[in-house]
Amino acid sequence: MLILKGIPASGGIAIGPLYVYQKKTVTDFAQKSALTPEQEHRRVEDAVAQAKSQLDELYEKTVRDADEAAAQIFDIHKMMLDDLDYVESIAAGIDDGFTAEHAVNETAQEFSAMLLSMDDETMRARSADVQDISHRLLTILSGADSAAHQLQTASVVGAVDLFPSDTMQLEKAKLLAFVTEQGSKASHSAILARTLGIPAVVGIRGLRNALIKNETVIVDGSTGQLIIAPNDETLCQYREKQESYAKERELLNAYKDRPSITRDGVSIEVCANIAYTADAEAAVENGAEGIGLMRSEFLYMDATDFPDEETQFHAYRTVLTKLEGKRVVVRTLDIGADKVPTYLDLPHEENPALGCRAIRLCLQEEDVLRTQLRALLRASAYGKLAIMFPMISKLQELRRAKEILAECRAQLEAEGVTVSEDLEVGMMVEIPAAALLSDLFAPEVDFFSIGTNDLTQYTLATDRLNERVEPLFDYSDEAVLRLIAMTAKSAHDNGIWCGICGESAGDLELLPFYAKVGIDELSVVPNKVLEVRRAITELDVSAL
Amino acid sequence: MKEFNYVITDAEGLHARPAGLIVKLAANYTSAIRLYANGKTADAKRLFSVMKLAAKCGQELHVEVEGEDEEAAFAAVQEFCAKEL
Repeated sequence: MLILKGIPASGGIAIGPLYVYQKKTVTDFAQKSALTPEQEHRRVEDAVAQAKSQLDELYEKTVRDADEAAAQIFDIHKMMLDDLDYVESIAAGIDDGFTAEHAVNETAQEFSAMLLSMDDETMRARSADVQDISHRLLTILSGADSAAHQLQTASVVGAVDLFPSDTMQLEKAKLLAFVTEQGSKASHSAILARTLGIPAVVGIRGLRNALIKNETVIVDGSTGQLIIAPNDETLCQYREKQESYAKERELLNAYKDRPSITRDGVSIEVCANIAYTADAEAAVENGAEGIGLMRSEFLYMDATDFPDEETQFHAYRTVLTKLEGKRVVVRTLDIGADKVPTYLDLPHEENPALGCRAIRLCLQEEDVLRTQLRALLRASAYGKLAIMFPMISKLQELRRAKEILAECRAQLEAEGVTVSEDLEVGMMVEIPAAALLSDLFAPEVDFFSIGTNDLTQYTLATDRLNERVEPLFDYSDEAVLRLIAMTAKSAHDNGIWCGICGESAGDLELLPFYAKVGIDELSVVPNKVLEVRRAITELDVSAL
Repeated sequence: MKEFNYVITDAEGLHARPAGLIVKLAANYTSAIRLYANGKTADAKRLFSVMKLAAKCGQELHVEVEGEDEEAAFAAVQEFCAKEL
């Protein structure tokens, strides 16, 4: 038994015989051409035309086996074949007296090296695409056997590297999983695996020396493990795991369109936390009833300067449109001295967790907040928006933030811009002071959302990233739970809703407690939504 | 010549798919369309050239359009950016 570790690229467990995928390399060709350059140019043109028709077929097959989005890569391959830089580079090689094969090979090396040298991971992953199209051309040019690999039985496919077209040419019904020595999470083969819903582990060091034809292997796509020639005990373990994983996914899927209501009729909304506009898709896919926390930091952290109103407006509108009328809670900028974008010069702080961060920073740099609020107000016309202020500890802070919001609204309305009438305004309860004074805050907001990570850190004075005190960090500590109960009560006494958006919102052991104190909404990572919903439907609050 | 600036809001930036789309779009016009980002320049009609820009979310893209059909090309590229980037 041999256990290898790689990067988990697509979840799930597969068990089966190994099919060793050896790329049929084309290396046997002359460098100096015996033909005229015109003849070599013609050969390339014909090969490109043939390659494009192969790609058309592959595109159709992928649409059938996976979906249109997955197939688009072959459209990009066609465009690469047509790209002037690529074509001109091959033509130049031929004009220098080389064969079409040599010219294509040189161009492939040069372009893939160029992409590999970029510091953007997704662009580096494109070098596999350049090699893929060039390999296709070489195979056609040399008349090599281009027949697709045939899987005789359902197999786990192992290779040093797999091009996207390799992955799609394999018969889907017999493809259990794939494992590769090279590749990253962003490579197309990994993306395709996730679309096809099969496990995949990539970047397994030393895999090439461990590939034994027909050997039984176990692939755990969630942990990134590949077990070669497992012993009976391990095999048995994984068979059980595989079964329960499949059952679990199937069972959970049944909750996608079900309401999140307990047995005795108490409704607890299950929403998703997202950190990027693109995550909205996953939230909808997993049946989230809304976005309980959209972090806005990505707009600032990945930028080279403060994002302008237009940029932010587009991002918020994208998410609101995608959610089709479901509530989207956007938290205003939450950064501090421990997390500073390069263009912002904040003085060093001894204690950033207790320093000038989030709303404190925004109230000192009002223009930054105004730009964000204007963008949010404009976007509010495109869905059901809620604005949430982070790190509120004093009433004056909340009042000042609301004042600025009102000024922005008046300004926009004077400019003739439509702003939603139903916009909700709320605050994070993550500082003990806010929880203790929640009865004073509640009349001034539309909702509370409890950030349990920070609330725990501040209540127990424990930094959970500090290993030496980490055991003290417990978000189900009685002190934290009392603050949560207090906050929920203040909310209900004042007729507003109270949610939880911290990590512990997904803790099923705490769910009965949340239900008992009347938490109205739980916001968790997208792939946990269904699990929480199922637990809610199995709960009976009256019996607690 | 017409020009405009656009800040990329798509979280993944100008990656392979939108790069492909912009090249397809540019092919419909005779005007020269040049993109500037990250201190680099790209010909919008060349896929690898656009990919090499590696323009990311939050970065500013400067677009210059010059030629006989620049009015139409300008409008098309601007609409593309707002929709896809």
